[in-house]
This record gives sequence, C-alpha cells and structure tokens, in this order.
Amino acid sequence: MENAAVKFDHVKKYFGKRQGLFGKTSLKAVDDVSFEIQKGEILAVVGESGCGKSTMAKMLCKVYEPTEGSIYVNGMDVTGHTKKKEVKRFRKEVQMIFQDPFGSLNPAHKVSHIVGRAVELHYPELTRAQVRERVVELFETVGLTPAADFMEKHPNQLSGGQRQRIVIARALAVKPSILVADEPTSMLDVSIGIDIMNLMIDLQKKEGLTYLYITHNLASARYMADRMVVMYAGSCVEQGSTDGIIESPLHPYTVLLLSSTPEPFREEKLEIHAAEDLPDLTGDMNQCPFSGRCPRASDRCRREKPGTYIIGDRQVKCFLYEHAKEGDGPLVDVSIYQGKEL
Amino acid sequence: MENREIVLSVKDLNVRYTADRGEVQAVTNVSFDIHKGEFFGLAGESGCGKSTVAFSIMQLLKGAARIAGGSIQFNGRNVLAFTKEELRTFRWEKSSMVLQSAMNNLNPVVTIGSQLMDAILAHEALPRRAAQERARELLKLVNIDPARIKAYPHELSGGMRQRVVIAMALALRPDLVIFDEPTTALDVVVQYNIIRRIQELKRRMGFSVLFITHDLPLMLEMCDRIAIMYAGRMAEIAPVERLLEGGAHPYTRGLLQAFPSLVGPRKELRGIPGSVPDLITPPAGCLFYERCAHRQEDCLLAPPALEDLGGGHSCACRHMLSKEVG
Amino acid sequence: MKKETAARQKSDGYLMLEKYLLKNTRAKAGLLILLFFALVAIFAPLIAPYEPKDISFMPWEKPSLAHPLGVNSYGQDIFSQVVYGTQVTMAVGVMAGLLTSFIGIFVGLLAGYKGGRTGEVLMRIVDVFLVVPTLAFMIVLAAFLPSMGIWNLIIIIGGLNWLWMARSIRSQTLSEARREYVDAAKVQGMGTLEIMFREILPNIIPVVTANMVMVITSAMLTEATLSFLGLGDPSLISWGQMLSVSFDNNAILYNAWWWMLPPGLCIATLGFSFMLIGNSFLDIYANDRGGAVKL
Repeated sequence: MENAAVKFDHVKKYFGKRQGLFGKTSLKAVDDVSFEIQKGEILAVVGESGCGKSTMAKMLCKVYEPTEGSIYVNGMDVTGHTKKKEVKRFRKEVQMIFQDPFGSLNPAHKVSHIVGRAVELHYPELTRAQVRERVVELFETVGLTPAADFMEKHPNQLSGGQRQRIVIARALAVKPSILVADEPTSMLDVSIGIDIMNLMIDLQKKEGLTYLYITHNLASARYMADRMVVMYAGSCVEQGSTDGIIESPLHPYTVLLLSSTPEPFREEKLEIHAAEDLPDLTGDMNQCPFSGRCPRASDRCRREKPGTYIIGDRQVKCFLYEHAKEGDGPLVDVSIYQGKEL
Repeated sequence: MENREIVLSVKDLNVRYTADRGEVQAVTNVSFDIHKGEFFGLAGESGCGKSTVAFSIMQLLKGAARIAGGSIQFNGRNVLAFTKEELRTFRWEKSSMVLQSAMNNLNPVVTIGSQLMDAILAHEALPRRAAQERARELLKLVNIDPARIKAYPHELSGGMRQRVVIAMALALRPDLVIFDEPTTALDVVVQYNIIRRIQELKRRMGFSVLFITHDLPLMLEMCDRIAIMYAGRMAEIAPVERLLEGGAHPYTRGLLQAFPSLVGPRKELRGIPGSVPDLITPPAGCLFYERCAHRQEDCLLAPPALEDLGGGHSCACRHMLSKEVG
Repeated sequence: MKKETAARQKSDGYLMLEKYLLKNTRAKAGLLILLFFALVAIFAPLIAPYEPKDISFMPWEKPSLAHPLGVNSYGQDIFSQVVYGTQVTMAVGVMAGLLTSFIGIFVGLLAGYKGGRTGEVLMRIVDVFLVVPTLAFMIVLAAFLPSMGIWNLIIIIGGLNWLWMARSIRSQTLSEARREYVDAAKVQGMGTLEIMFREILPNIIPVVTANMVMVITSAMLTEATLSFLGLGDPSLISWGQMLSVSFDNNAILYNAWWWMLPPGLCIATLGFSFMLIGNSFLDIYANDRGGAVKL
C-alpha cells in the first residue's frame, strides 16, 4: 500500500443509457475493479474492445469520475476532487499517451508549441528561453534528434512514429510520475511501434516512471509488463504476473483469449470455438459475466457473482478456484478445452 | 506445389498514380502466382502497395491510379484485356473481395437475406425460392443461424456482419477470394473464429485465397505461402516454414524480429530504423538500403530483382541472409 | 535542410491561398467586387463630385454629364449619394457582421464544447429566438427605440443575426470536440477558454470564415430593409435609405429609374459578391473534409 503508485479500490463506472422513450438504464462499463501498481512498475491491462479498459484509463486521468469506489495516486485519494488547484496538482502526477497519434495532436499548432504549452501550463515561472530549452531537451529524450529539425513542423509533416514521440514528449513535459498509455502502438506499423515500446521501457528504467499500459495484444503486454490485469465485460477476471498468466492461464476467458492470439511459434495450439456475443452490460449482473460462453459454467455461475480468489500472486474471479491454494500444481489442465465450443 | 494449377498469375505489375507533387510509383514490377487451393498471404506495412495490388487484380483502381504495365492472368486469361461484360462475370463469379470495412458497408435498411439473394440473383437466373434457399445455406456456411435471414445488419455483431460479407463473397463459388485486412477492426477472439471459418470453407470449397494483412503472426499461422512487399516492390516470397526460420531478405528478418511473442525467452526487440523512401522520387538502388543492417556498396547500383530460389521461395536481395545469420 | 522546410511551409500557405481563392473563379469574382466597393467607400470624398446632402440642383433632373445618375426630388446629386451610401452600408454590414460573429462564435463554441446542460440551455434559447420572426421583431424593437443612430442599428442587427451562425459553429465544434487532441488538452490541464479558442477555433476557421461572410451579407440586407421600411436613421445616407426616400417621393410615378435602380443594383451586387465568396469557401471546405487538406 505504502509503495503503490496507483490503487484502484472497488472502482465502478456506470454510464447512463437511455432506453426507449422514458426508461433509463445504466451500462456497467467498469464493475468493481481493484488493483495496485507499484512505483516504477508497468502494469498491463488486457482485454477486448468494450471490456472497460479505456474507461479505466480515462478514470485514472480524471477525464471521468468513478461512480463508486476510490482511486489513489501516490497514496492520495483523487476521486471527487474538483478544485482547480487540486486537479492541477493531480495532472502533474498523471499524464496520458493516446492511441491515435494523428488525432491527439492539434493540427493547428507547431509541435514545439504543443510540447512547450504543456511545460508552460505547469511551470509558469519559467522564462520563454527556459521553456524552449526544456522542449529541446524533451525532444532529445524521446529520440527526435536533432530537435531543431522537428521543432517548427506541424504534426501533419511528421510520420506516425514521430508523432507518437511528440505525444510522449508532451506527457513528459509535465514531469509526471505516472503515465497512462492507451494502446499507444496499435495504430503504428510494428517496426515503428516496437521502438515506441522500447522508448517507454527506457523511460521507466531511467526516470522511474510508473505505467498503466492498456492493450488488446497479449504479446505486447508480455513484452512491456511484469504484471497484468485481464478484463472481461467490465470486470477484472484475472491478475498476476504476465509470465504466470501466459504460461498457465486460470480463468476460462484468459484461456480463450490466449488461444485466439496468433502465435506461429507456439508448440501446440488449442482449438477453441467461442460464441462472439458479449453479455448485455446493462442489466443487474448477478452472475459471472463470462458464464454465458464458459464451457465450465455451473448453475451457480449464472446465479451468483464469483468473488476474487487469491492463489499465490494470482487473483482470479472464478468459482473453480474457490478452494484452490498455492502450490496445488497445475490447477487446470488447459487441454480440457481442446475442441470445445466455448 | 509447383506442378499445381495456377489460378492467378501477376507478372511485372506496375501501378502509378498522380499526386500534386508528381507521379507516385505505388507498385513496381510485382510478380507472383497463386495456385489452386492455396492460402497465399500478402504482407507489408502501411503504404507498401499491398492493397493497390489487390485492387489492380479486381480492376477496381480508382481516380488517379492506373496500371502502367505488366499482366494479370486469371485461369490463363488476361484480366487487363477483359471487356465490360467479362469483367462483370469475373468480379464476384470468378473472384471476389472482402474489405476491412465491408461489414459497415452492408445496406442498413435491407435484411441480410435480401442482400445475399440480390448478390445471387444479379449473376444467376434462379427462382426467388431457390435463391433464398441458397442464402440460408450460405449463412449456415459461415456459422450463422439461417433463422436470422430476416435480420438487419445493425442487429448483428461486427464479427457476424463480417461473416455475412464473407458469405456474400462466396455466394457464387468463386475460384479466388481476396481478403483485404478482413479482421483488422475486430477483436482477437472474433478474428480467430473468422480465420478458422475461412480456412475450413477453403478446404471444403477449394477456392484460393489472397489474404492481405500487416499482422505477420496471424499470417504465419494460417497461410501456405507469404509474399512480403516493401515500398511498392516484392521483397520476398516464401513458404511459411522458410519464414519461421527467419526469411532471407533483411527486411523480412527485421519485420519478423519486431513482433513480440507469447513464447520463448523475453528478449529485447528492435524496430527497423528510418522510414520508407519517397515513392515519387525513389532512390536509384535498393529501396531498403537506408534502413538495412546488411547493406553493402553494390546495393546502390539498382533495385535487386526477385530471384527464384526453388521450392516456391524467391527473394529480391543481393546479400540474402542464410538461416544461421541474425 | 532548414531552408528546405521553410520553403515548403511557405508553399503550404500559398497552396491554401491558391485552393481557397486563386483557383476558384467564383471566390475571385466575389473578392474583386468587394474590393471595388471597399475602395469606393474609402475614397468616397474623392470620388463623389458633390456633397451628398447638397440641395443646390434642379430636382428630377435626368442623368447628364454633370450628374451621371441624375438628381432626386430634393435637388441632391444621386451619384454622390450612392458613393457615400457605400460607406454606411459597408460599415453597418461589417460592424454588425463582426458583432454577430463574435456572439455566434462564442455561443457556438461554448454550446458545442461544454455540451451537457450549458449546451442544452444555450441551444434551447437559440431555438426560441429562431421561431421568432426576426424582421418583425426588429421592426418592433426599432419602433420602440427613441432614436435610431448607426450604433443602435448595428446592435439590433448584430444582436439578432447570430442564431444560425451559433448553430452551425456548434455542430462543427461538436465533431471537433470528440477528437483526441481535446482530451489531451484536458489531461494537460488547459482551461475551458483556452481549449475553446486556442485549440478548437483554429481548426474550424474555414467554417467560421464562411459564416462570417454570410452574416455580413445578411446584415447589409437587413440594414437596407430596415431603412427602406423607414426604420433606419433618416440623417444617414445608405442605399436602403435612398430607396426608401425615392419610394416615398413617388419616384415610380415620375419614372425616375435613375433614382431607384442604382442603390438597388448596388445592394444586389455587393450581396452577391459576399454570397460568391461564402459559398465557394463552404464548398471547398466541404470537399476537404475527407482529410485531403490539413490546416
């Protein structure tokens, strides 16, 4: 707790959704999620679209406020703060790297202005020359050298990879301790994206930054992070060490996600066929969200929400592990899923 | 493999298009063959010309783009010389195409059943009854409950809509189906289902597939042979097994090494430094020279030609890498 | 390298100018007409042969060399009146247009960016005003005001013309506010006003410009209408005022076409020029929304 840079404590986010002419229901985008990120750690959040991972990122950046629960940043509860000063202090701690390097830079400004403005906003005491000096320094930090070649350009004169570096420079300008990266490489070619990931890892090592790294790609989560959280339909179904989860997934959804990820170098391939429909996130969910697709679901899974069960460094939300202990050996032989219609 | 019947043969294809600043050499001297029943992949990063090749085959190039040379033979007949009527039969009946955004291009106010029937009836004189029966069969083929024939597109999930589009593409039992990033906008679980379905249908119906994507791991998992394009030119064409060993072209090698993996030791990966050259004024030598880790002086002479190495493998590089290197 | 980029940027700006104006015949024609009237307004004292209110000539005199557009019933030189009228018409048009634009931009940006309750309330207010017949409302307003100086005219016209502009800017802002750079600005800690005016506004400039051109036209036409209806400032000479006076003095019965036609034609031509410019801007902008042009 003391060391946690970020702590989500039973965080929920419901969006109001109109139904019919008068009715109103709520969409449970994030439903009771808890996790911690230690200082200087990269935590990956993995899941498919609509699982709530971007909503989590936006809550951590205070674009949305949680409906329930608290978010702690460096031990401080940041939920509900709306005073300008407090929000500004918070912004100095948490910054964001966006998914779309084309949309997240204002095409109307020069990149030196974009990065310089971020410096000015949080360090108003700096002179113009000092701001400029800092911008040059930031450009060099993110590998845009010589900085002079890039400063006076507009975003549309740069390539996707260069733009994403500007986005990172802008985030660093504030000198944050925590970076939220929402699929930062999904819109780039791999040969470019991997260098962006390397840059992020470098910054973590050199500057001790903490990351919440959001991705739909398990392989990139493994590359970036030591620990990860697997999300499904707004709930955190499994969390633990990246290697542990990828080597022996516990939750049936993790098994499905893992076996669906293309990996030509895998020795044996599980063939699982799954229904594609995501559960309806608007009703009262008194059941496991995955129960509709799960081959091992029992009646209980459809009546009751599973709690979080802790097995060693792993946490999993599935009744199968209710009585499991650490060192039980391989808890579930994944081959039982072979050829199953999930 | 070489004795198998060739369905599609592209030879020295050149595509140019006019931009404000000059003529873009979008595709230059691209050649490849697709055999009957083959699952052929066309990979490359954005702007490498892979989609342009697909559109050239279907004769769907638009606006400023034009074919500046080369030939495209389909079952031994020259596609480029087709009359309007021949082209109409060729598209859809002989070969069809599924695009990334196709699932969003279904007509929102017409049921999927009618759209399937329209596709069938446009090319075959059938009684409506029979066409409807065919539509049901097609839905079953792509694993959609035929009872949903009366569903409107918005009532289906993204993955199901994409499967409807695939069903439409298969409606007239074409010999070749081109998939241009068909699963890029979809989640992995859905993608996996669709890919498996395509593979199974291919096995059952015997068509050939030209599959275009930037997702190399996906391609390595499902294709028989893969062509890798760079800056409008063919870099390498190789059977998957050969690529899994590393590929012979430095670009292929770099690309393969840039993908994080789920298995094996966690090691640091490196991207490919630099960026793609300007295709309006391309450099005189190998287009990959600036970014290549294995470049030598003679690479600057002229762009290397695609060299046949046997066994369905060919590569355009003067200093091909052996399996052990790198 | 640096030199090269500088040259490139210059050509970018030039390309835009070319795209919006030089390549577009309609915009070019509109701009030429506008320029002509602007010069006339500025150099009115040099161009006009007589004082516009000077009544020392023979009433109802037909056009002649001394009086190119004849003389009106009071013995005033019509050509001089048309020339001076340009000043008033353009001043009212531009000032009222600017006022309209200012309100329209502010309300549109605020409603579009803030959304939620603020946006909803603002737009409902706009809707209410939109169903009120503006001209009738102005007439009533003008009738109630003790005197109708040029400033009152500008405020009335400007204050009531911004509704459509606010709507159009709001819808542009709505789509712009969904883009990620706006989220980025928020996360950085930029204030609402900075996001509205420094982040969003530069990206919707073409729509703003096109709208401004439209409201200036409409302000000029409204001024003419009000003056024609006798609700303007009688001491000012504007084209609408001239029409109104000619109408009151039965110019039609005297067949004095030289009195009625010139101000009418001037209003039509100037309005037409603004329409040309505005429409061509909007056309170009609409065609560019595909992303071909980056501003």
